[in-house]
Amino acid sequence: MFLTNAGRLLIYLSLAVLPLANAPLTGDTLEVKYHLFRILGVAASILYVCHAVFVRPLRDPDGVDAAVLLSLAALGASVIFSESPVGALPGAVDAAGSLAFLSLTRRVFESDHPDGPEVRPVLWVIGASMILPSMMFVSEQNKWGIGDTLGNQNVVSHFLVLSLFAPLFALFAAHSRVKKGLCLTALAALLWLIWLTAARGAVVGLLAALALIALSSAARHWASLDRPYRLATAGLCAVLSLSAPVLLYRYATATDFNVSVRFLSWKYSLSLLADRLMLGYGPGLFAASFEKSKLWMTTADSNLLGLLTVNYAHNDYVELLVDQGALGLAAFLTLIAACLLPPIYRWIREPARAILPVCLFLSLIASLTQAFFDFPYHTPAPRCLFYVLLGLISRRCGSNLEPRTSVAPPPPPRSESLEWLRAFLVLLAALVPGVPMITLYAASALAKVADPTFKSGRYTEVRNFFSMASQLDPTRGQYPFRQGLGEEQAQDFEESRRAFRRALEFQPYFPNTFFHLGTVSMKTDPARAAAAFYATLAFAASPTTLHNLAAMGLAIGDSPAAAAIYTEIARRYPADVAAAHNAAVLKQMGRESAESETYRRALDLYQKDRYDLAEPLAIAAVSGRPGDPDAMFLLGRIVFHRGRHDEAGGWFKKVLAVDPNDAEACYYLASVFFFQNRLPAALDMYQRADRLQPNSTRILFNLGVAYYSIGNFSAMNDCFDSTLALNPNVSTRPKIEELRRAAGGRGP
Amino acid sequence: MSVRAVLAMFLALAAFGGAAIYGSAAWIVRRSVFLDDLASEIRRARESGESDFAQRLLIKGAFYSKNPETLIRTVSDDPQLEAYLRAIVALRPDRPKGWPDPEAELRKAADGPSPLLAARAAIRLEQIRYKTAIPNAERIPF
Repeated sequence: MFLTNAGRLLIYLSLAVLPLANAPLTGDTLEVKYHLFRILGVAASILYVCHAVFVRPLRDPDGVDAAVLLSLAALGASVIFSESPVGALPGAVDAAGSLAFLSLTRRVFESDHPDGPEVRPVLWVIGASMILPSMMFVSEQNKWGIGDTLGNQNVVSHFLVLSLFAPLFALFAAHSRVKKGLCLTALAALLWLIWLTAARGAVVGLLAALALIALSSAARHWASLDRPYRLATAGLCAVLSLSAPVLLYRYATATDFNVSVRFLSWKYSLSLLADRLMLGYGPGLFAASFEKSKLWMTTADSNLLGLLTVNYAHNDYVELLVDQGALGLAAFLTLIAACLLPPIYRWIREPARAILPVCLFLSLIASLTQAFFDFPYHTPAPRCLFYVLLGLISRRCGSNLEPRTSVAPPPPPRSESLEWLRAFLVLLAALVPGVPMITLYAASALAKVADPTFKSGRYTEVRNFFSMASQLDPTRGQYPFRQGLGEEQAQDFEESRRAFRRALEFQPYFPNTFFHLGTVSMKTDPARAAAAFYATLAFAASPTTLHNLAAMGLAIGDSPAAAAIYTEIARRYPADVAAAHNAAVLKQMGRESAESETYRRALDLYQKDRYDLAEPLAIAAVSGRPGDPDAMFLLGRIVFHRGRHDEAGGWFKKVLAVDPNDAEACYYLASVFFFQNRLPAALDMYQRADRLQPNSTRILFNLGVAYYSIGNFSAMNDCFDSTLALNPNVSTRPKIEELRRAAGGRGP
Repeated sequence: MSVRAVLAMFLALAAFGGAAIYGSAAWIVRRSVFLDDLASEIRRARESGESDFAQRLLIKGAFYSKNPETLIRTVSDDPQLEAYLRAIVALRPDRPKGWPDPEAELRKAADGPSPLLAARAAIRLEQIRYKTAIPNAERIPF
C-alpha cells in the first residue's frame, strides 16, 4: 500500500511543483523545469518498477501497456541510431519519464469506478497549481510589474487547457446549487484566461473537443430522443463539427506572420524526414536538426524564417516525427488511441458511469488539437499533466483489476499515518537516483555566469568555465562551442579546433560552428579555412563568411574566384562599398594580367618570326588595351613584316600620336614611306629617328639608303661612314659597299 | 483495446504514415531545390560575374536534384568542376546506381587549375580517407 501511496505522492508533488518551479540562478524558468522533470521522471520510473515487482506483476498487459512498450522501443532505437546518441540522452530521459508518469498513474489510481474518489486529490492539486501561473500571466498582461517567465503565455495556455477537466468534473459532480455556481465561475474564469493567452490552437481544440463530446452524446441518447430533439441535436453536432475546421481555415488563410512562419517550420521540419524517416534524428534534437533544412531551404523562406529561432516545430506531432521518426509518431498515436478509445466506448455503452472520463476526454482532445499549433508536450508542466491525465483516463477499472496472488500471509494492518510516513520515505528514496541530474543545472548556471565574463574579454576564464560546464553536462554541444570561442579569442587555435569539432558531434548542422572552424584555420591553413567557409555558406550566406572566403581565395592564389565572391557581396549587400571596390580592383587586375599574358605571347611569337600566329594575339592585346602604344607598335611591326605596309603605317602613326618621341616608331614609319616610294617623307622620318636615337647603325644605314635613292651621295657617304665608324663589322657592310660602288666608286 | 489491435494499429500507422511522410519529405526537398529555378539563378549569377555563387548553386543542385546529369552537362567545358560535381553526386546518401567512386573524381578535381575548388576537393578526399577534415562533410553540399 505504501508504494501506491508513494506513487500518488509523487504525482501530487510533480503536478504541484512543476508549474511553479522558478529558476533562482539562471533566470531561465523552462531550464529548471526541465531538470526537475527529469528527476521526477526517474523517480516515477523507479516507483513503477517497484510497484510492478512487489505489488502487482504485469501479468495481463492491455493495449496501453503494449503501446507504452512500443513507444519505449521506438525511443530506444531512435537514441541508439541517432547522429548524436549522447546529445539525445536528455530528450530520451524526458520521453521515458513521461511514459513512466502515465504507467505509474494507471497503477496507483486503479479503481472499481471510473469516477473513483481517489482521483479527487489530483483535481485539488491541479486546481491549486494553476492559480499562481494564471496570476503571473494576468499581472504580466496588465503590466503590473511582476513580469516573469513563470507566466509565459504558451506554457500557461497549455497547462490551463489540460486543467479544464477539473472545474468541469466538479460542476457535474456537485450536488448543491452554490457549489455548481462556484464551479461554473471557475470554469468561466479559466476559459477567459485561455482566451486572454491568445492561444488559437486552444480555441480550435476546445471546439473540436466539444464537437466530439456532442457527437458521442448524440450517439448515446439517439434512441431515446423524440424527432424534433433529434433534428436539433443533429444541427448542433453539425455546427460544432464544422466550427473547428472553419476557424482553422480562418487562421490558416490569415495573412499573419505567426501563422505563415508556423507553416514554413512544419514544411521544412517534415522535409528533414527525407533522410531519416523511420527513427528520426534523436529525442530532443529537433532544434539541432532543423538547421539541416537550411541546406535546401529557398532564399525567400530562409529570409522569413531567419527572423525566428526555430527551437520548436510549433506542432508536437511534427516535432516528435523529427525526433523519433515515423516509428516514434506511430507509437505515440497508437498510445493515444489505446488510452482514449476504450473509455469513450465505455461511456457510450454505460451512460450512468464515467463523468470523469468525459471531462478528461474534453481536456485531452483540446490539448491534442492545440498540439497541432504549439508544443505543449515539450514543456515540462503541461507534459507531466498530459501523461498523468492519459494515465487517469486509461486506468483500469472494475473487472480489469486483478489482485496480486501471493503465497505469503497478509501483513498485519498498520496505522494510516505510518503508511503515509513510509510512503514519504520511499518517495524520498526514489528521488535520490535522479539527484545527480542537478549537475546539468549546475552546468547551465555556470554557462550563465560565464556570459558576462566572455563579454568583458576575460577569455581564459571563459575557457575554464565552459570546460567545467562540458564536464558537468557532456550532453550539450553549446558548451564545447563556447569553450571553442574562448580558446579562439585567447589565440589557442589548436584547442579551439578540437572544441569546435566536439561541438559538431552534438550539433552536426550548426553553421556557426563551421564558420568558427574556418576562422581558427585562417592564418595557418587557408585551404581548410576556405572549405569550412564553403560548408557554412551551404546553409546561409552572410557578409562575414563571404569576406573571409574571398580573403582565403586570395591567400591561395585564386583571385578570379575572390573577385566573383566580392561581386556577390556587392550584389547581396549594396551598402558594402568595400566589397564593390575590391571586386572592381580584382577584376581590373585580372584583366591586366590576362592582357599582359596575351601581349607577352604575341611578342614571343613575333620574335620567333611566327607572324601568322602572333597577329591574332596582337589584335587581342590591342583590343584589350586600347591606346596602348606597345601593343599597337607590336601589331604594326607584325603587319609590316607580313607586307601590309599601308596598314602598318596607320598603326605607327597611332603610336607616334601617343608618344611623338618614339624613335622605333619613327624608324618603322620611315620604312613604310620608303616602301611606298614616298622618299622625301621617308628621309624626313629617318632623320627624326636619328635625332631621337643617335648612333643607331640601323637608322644611319637606312638614312644612307634613302639619300642614295634621292641621289644625294655625299650625305649617303656621311651616313655610311658614321655607320662603319660605330661598327666596322656591321652586318650591312656588304650592302654599303655595293651601294657605294653603284654611286660612283668611292671607297671608305 | 487488445494488444493485437494495438500492434495492428501501430504497424498500419508506421507503414502508411511512413510512406506518406517520406513522399512529402522528398517532394519538399526536390521542390525547394527546383532545377528550372536553379538553372535560371545559375545563369543570372554567371552573367553578373558571380561565378563562385553559380558554382555553389551547381553543387547544391547536384547534391539534391533528381537529375544531376542535367546540371553536370552544363559544365562540360570545365573538367575540374565536372569532376567535382560527379564526386558530389557520388557522395549523396541516395547515390544513383552505377555512379563512380567519389575518390577518383575528387583526385581529378584536386589536380585542377582553380585553387579554391581544388582545396575543397582535397579536403573532401582527406575526410573520406581519414575523417579528419570537416565533420559531417559528406552530408553537406559544398
